[in-house]
Formats: sequence, C-alpha cells, structure tokens
Amino acid sequence: MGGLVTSPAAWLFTPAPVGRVAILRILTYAFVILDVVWLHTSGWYHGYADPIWYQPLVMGQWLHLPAASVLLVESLKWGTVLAALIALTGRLPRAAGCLVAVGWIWYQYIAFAYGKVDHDRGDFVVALLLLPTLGQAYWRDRSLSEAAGFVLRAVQLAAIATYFLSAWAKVRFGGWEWVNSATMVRAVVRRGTPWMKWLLDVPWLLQATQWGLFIAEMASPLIFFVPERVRRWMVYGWFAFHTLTYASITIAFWPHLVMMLAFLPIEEYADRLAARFSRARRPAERAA
Amino acid sequence: MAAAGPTLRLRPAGKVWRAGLVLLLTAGFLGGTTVGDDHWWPFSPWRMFSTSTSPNAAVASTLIEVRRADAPAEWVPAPLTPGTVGLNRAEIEGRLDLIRADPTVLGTLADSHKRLQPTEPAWVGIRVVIRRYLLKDGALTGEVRDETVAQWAAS
Repeated sequence: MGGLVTSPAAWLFTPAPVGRVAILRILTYAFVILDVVWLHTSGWYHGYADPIWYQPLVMGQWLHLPAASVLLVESLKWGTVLAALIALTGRLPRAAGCLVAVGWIWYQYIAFAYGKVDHDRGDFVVALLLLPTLGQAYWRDRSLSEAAGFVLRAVQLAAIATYFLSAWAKVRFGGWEWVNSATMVRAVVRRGTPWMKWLLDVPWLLQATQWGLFIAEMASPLIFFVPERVRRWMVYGWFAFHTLTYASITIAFWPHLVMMLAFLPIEEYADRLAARFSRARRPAERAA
Repeated sequence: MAAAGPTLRLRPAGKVWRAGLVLLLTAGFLGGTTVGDDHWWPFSPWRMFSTSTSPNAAVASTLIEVRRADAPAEWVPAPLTPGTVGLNRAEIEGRLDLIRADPTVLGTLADSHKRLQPTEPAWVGIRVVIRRYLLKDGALTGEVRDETVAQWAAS
C-alpha cells in the first residue's frame, strides 16, 4: 500500500476482483430496502408533520425541494425500494443504480430537513453515487478490474473520512477539551440502556473511552499504510467499537457499517458460504 | 467460478473523470468539516457527539407533557417520537426558539398526532419541558430541575 505515497493515481485505481464490488453492491442495495422500510423512517413521518417545521438545507434550496407530504414520502419510499429490487437482480446496473441513488438521497434529505441531521450517512451517499459506475458485474467474476478497484477505494476513503473528519469536528465544535468533557456521560444519561447505566458511576471510564476513541479516529487513516492482515484486524476493531456503542446507547451507524465491508475480501466469504451450502445439499441429493 | 482473465483496464478518460469526481467529493467533505454546518448535508461535518459537555453543569433533555381529551385536567408525559408527532426530540430541541416565540406551533403536533394515531384520545394541551440533570465532576448529583418552555391549549 506504499503506492499511496509513490503514485496516488495508481493507488486510486488498484485493480480489485469484479465479484467483490458485485457483492458489495448486493449488500448495499439490500441495505437500502432495509433502511427505507424499517431502519430510518423519520423521513416518512415527516410527511405527517406540518410544513412549518421544514428547514430547507442548502441542497433543497438549490434544487427547490418542497416540504414533505404523505404522497411524496410514499412515492420516494416505494420508488426507491422498486429501483433497489431491480438493481439487486443485476439488471440495468447503471439506470437502476442511479434511480436508487436519487430516491435514497432525497428520502434522507426529507429526514434531515426538519432540524436534525444524522452524521453517519455521508459515505453511503458516495457508495450509491459510485457503485453504478462499474456497469455489469457478476459475483463469481474474479477478473481484476480498475473500475472495480476504484469503487472500493473511494468507498474506503469515505468510510475512513467518517472517523478522521469526526475527530476534526470534535476539535472544531467541542474544542480540545472534548476528550475531558462529559460528552459520554451526557450520551448515557440521555440514551443509555438499562444494562449500561452503571457506567454513570464510573465517570473516569467514560472519559478514558473518549481519549481512546479520539486517538483511534485521528489515527484511522493509518489503515491505508499497514499490511493486509493488520488492516483486517483494524476493521474488526471498528466493528467491535460499534457493537459496544450500540449496546450502551442504542446508536448504530448502520450504513457506515456496510461501507466498512469494502475493506474485506467479501467474495471469499461468499465462496465459503456457497461451498458450505452446496456441501450441505450434496448428501441430501445422494439420498434422494 | 469465472476464471480471472487479464486485468480490465480503464481508458485514460475514464480515469480522469473518476479522479475528478473523487476530488470534488473530497473538497465537499473537507469544506463541510472545516467551515460548513448541518445545512451542507451530505457534506455536513461529521459532528456526532462532538460538543463538549461541562462535567459540572447539567445535561438537558427535552420532553413534552399533554392534556388528553379524556382527562383534560391532568398533564401526562407523552412520547416525543416520529410515530406520535411526526418529529423526534432533537428536532423539537432544535426549534425551541420558534416554540418560545410562538407556542401556537405546538398545535400542529396535536394535528399530526391525530393523523398518526387516530384511535388515541386527542391532545387538547401540550407543554414543552426541559429537564436538567445536574452533574458534579462528571457524575450525576441526583438533582433534577424542570423548566416549562412553552404551553399551548386547544381553543
């Protein structure tokens, strides 16, 4: 990965297996459906809120996007689901992928244009915009492709930017004293799960966690400079962090978790799953 | 499994626009982080839990209490969630200035509640309360203070 230093252009287009992006695409579009229908539904409810609460974001001012209505949120919700289903079949990867991107981004816009913006969805926007650039891709295709490598690299960059730039934002908005502040106490008071409320009795532990998190976020770009084996463990480490966060304050950056998969050889996992599945089937066939 | 053939290369033009797009996105995210705010979404700064909370001040949490049509004399806590009023707590917290200046906007929450939960008793009064949990050295003191920010009654 020293290529990042010697030749950033070649590094950006490091060839990767087509199948890896095909699988990331399947997971992404499947997640879109899950997200729109079950996970992130505040946009849908905004269809029922009075327009007085609508606060257009810059994007909405430029594009003249209206306040939500029940008709608009229903159209976006089901239109996005339909486009994602088509994209999942692998047909029309560019057209369907672009429709998913427009529908999902607009739906998120409606969710965020009422005064509360979530901060975990920037990398997913990048993925939805770039995934269609690969065109046709089959999950068992192991050909190495620069177009596939580019999509993975861009998603990786956006995913790591989420950590690094959030450390930056902490300094900008919270100041350097953020690490010693009671931010996590506040989070646990407001959203702590019953089995994690004990944390409030050990404030020093929450403060130490703030130091650890801040250092990890600041150091997150190192992931591009370490050997492959270490890189995977760093990704597992982040997954562990997000699991603990969810257990403590029921906040999970779901779309971002999907994006972190761009670091892993997911096509190998898929092969192993497929092999196990066919092994399980073979004895049954013999018996028949 | 499809065998790996020769590496599929991109034409120079294909690389140029892709690299350009990445630069554009990078500029957007860096700009959002350094000078932007939430209104820049999707380029808004990644500021989740970025504010500092003083270890010796208070943690504030906003809630609503309502009078229901079936028991109008009594204030009862009501969930402040998208499923009940179309908005969540943080969205109401972000608009406290509007609510203070014009408490009648709370009436729209009663309307949304009626549309979202038509079988529940209607709300004939709403008040917004900020509940402050006091801290000392980062630990809760156990002391809680309530402040009623605004109040609305159906006419």
